Parts: sequence; structure tokens; C-alpha cells
Amino acid sequence: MASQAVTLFALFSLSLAPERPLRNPPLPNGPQPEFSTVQAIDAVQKRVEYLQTQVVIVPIAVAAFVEGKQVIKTAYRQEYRTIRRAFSLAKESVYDTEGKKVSAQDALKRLKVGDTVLLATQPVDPLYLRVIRPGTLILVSAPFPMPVPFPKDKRGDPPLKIETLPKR
Amino acid sequence: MTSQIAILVVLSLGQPAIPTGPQPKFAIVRDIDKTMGEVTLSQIQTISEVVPEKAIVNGQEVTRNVIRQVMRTVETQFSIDKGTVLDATGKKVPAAEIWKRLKAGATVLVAGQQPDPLFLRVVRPDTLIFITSPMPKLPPPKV
Repeated sequence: MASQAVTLFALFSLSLAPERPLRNPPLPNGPQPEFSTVQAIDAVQKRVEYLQTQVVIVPIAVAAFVEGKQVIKTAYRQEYRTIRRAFSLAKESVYDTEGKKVSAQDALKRLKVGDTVLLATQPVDPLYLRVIRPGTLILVSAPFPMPVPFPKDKRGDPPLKIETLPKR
Repeated sequence: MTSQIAILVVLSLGQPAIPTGPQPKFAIVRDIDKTMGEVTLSQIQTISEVVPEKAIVNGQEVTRNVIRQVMRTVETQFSIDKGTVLDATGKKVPAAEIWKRLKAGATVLVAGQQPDPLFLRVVRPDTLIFITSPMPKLPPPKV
């Protein structure tokens, strides 16, 4: 009887204690998924076309003054590019927000043109998916080669040239 | 002029909508400092890095710079008093409400501007979206 009272008291005290914030909340593993919209569906070939927004670093020539001389410097500007890509439901994988694999047939039934989906290069960490509505499909494909962000010289190296303008 | 607009409307009717603007990014609430009115957000970003790599060209070993994508964790401070926080319907969330809803470890979205509703269709309505100042310029890749 006494032990029960102690237990009840302990539980009551715990319920009154303020909730402690997490000290080091866990971080997700792996890259975050991207949002995309379905542009076309080919049910026969089990193919989905979607739009992907990429940030690419584009080199631009900028005139600047260094020690009183005008020089041309290579600066880098970020630009958004929208690329239309194809996703093979037969060859690549589709998951739901619970991490379950969705078959190509089921994905074809669920997907509609204009739908928003998530894109990833590996199964997505559940920490990301906590804010995603159930029923959302995640298209997982092999990573695409990066857009070429650099001008290339003969060796294929990205040059960082500073050229002096000819004197007038 | 009117006919041109009509043609454009007819052409666009069959096309699915395309989201405008950059998509929101995911972040984890790392720390909450109510006295300072600040929240620390952690984001896993994929960045481009130039890495020297040895290769054999015409029987000779050469070093080339190749671009690789690497992941890094970036922590940013967000001022609740100065910044804007929206919900998934695009409505502004008052500061008092934010403090009630925010918890360390929670997943939120971060964007440089109000995200296109097309992106937010798959986001849970109670998700907080932190609108930061426009994305800072990416540093030039290290060569």
C-alpha cells in the first residue's frame, strides 16, 4: 500500500516537472529530398516526367580595379535552372512516407499529372518526412551527374584567371 | 493582342502548373533561446567541392581537379522577432504561437521567400516555414 502511494506520488511529481528540451536533437542522415511536380505520365512505358530545380554556379566575367588597374575577374553567380527529367517506375524505386516500397503498378495508379512528389537519391530519413503529408510519393533514383558549373581549360581544370586589360 | 492572350491561355490549359521560385529546404530545430528570441536551425546541405584526383592520361599520371558533391551540416540563427514564419497555408504565424509550437528536434522548412503553393501541397498544415533573407551568395568553389 505504502509503495503504491510512493509510486503514485513519484508519477504525480514527474507530471508536474517541466518538459526538458532535447540537448542534442538528432539530425537526419543523408541528403534532404527535393520537391518536384509531375509533368507527364507514360503508363505503357511506366515512365514519369518531372521538373527538377537545380542551383548551378555560373562563372561570369566582372571588371574590377586592383591597385589602380582595371582587371577582369572571374566571379561566380548562382542560378536556378529547371530541368525536365524522366523517371522509370520499372527500373527505379518509389517509396511512401512510411518508408514502404510502392510497386510500379501502384505508383501509376496513385500518380497524376500536376502532382507534387519528393525526389531523392536514397531512401529518405524519417526526420525529413515528419512534415510531409501521408500519401506523398518519393521517387528514388541514382544521382544525376552534376551540371557543369565551371568553364574548362584544355586540361579540364576550372581556371581562375585574372587578366590585365591592355593599356589604352 | 486579345487573340494572342487567348492563344496563350488555350495552350496553357493543357499544361500542368510549374512552381515558381526556389523550393523550401528542410531544417531541424537545434536550439531555442526564448530570452534572445532566437532559434538555431541545422540544415544538411549538399555543396560542390573541387577535389584533386589522379588519373592516367596517355600513360602518364596527371592530377585533375574534379567536382564532387559533399554533405555538410550548417547551423543558422533565426530571429523570431525580426523574421517571418508561415504555416503551410501561407498564413503568418504570430510570435507567441511560434514559441508554443516550437520544440527542439522538430523538423521545419526554410525558404528565402514564400514557397510556391505547389510545393506546400505535400507539406503537413501545422509545419512551420521560416522565411529567411534571400539565400546568401554561394562562396566560389575552392580550387
